Amino acid sequence: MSPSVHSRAVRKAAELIGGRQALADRLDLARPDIDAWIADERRPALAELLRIVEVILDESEAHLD
Amino acid sequence: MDTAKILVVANAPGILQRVEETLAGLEVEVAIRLRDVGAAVSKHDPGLLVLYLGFEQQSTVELVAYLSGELERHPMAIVCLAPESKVPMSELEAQMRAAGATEFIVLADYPRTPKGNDVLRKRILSAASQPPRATPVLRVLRRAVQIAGGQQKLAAHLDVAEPDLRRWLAGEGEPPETVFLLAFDLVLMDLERGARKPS
Repeated sequence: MSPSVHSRAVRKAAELIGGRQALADRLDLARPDIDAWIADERRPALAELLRIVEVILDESEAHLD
Repeated sequence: MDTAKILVVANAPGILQRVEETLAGLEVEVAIRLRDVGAAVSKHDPGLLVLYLGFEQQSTVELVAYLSGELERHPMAIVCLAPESKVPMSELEAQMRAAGATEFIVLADYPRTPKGNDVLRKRILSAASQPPRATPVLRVLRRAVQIAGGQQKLAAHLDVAEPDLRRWLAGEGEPPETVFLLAFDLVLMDLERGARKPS
């Protein structure tokens, strides 16, 4: 089964800011949550997803500059 | 900006006094309960809302998100005033900014002196000259429009009416979560494709 949009979002955010731990640190999230979301074992709540989305938008726009 | 109305929302008398002292000479209205904010915004149409973060956190985040969705009707800058610098302040700031706050200020960084108040006043008022920060949902929709090749094509892709999409893009309300996820999937796929492009 292909990964969910939630899983791909967390993976992309981690990739853009230098890894899963960097993402956990940046958003004050627990590293096991990040791992579980990427593995599609659980999904982040919408509020958490929106913070992850914001990281993706900020970082990808910065990379375009 | 000095002539625009300011709505101060705070539930602690000491904080209210401090903010009123800091904004002396300006037209300031006050609300002391979150549930009064919507009515106060409709009544006074402030250009700047100063929100003390002494209320229950989730309700405060929801209020900021709601007000950000209403910016088309009531354009204003939203400044969040945090009581003190404590962990996890960065999480609180991220939540507030994600909900649409224009500025996040830690009150304890500004001593209660004439000079401290003056610097705080300038920082609060400078937020009003910043364009309001779009919510992540709005930013996703805007980027999805570019990727899809226009509003009509995105509306078709999302299977929504174009007037609804236009309304969301204007900041009037937000799409259902399923629609947002579809739009975000488009943005994500575009980024994933970009990452796979040969350099």
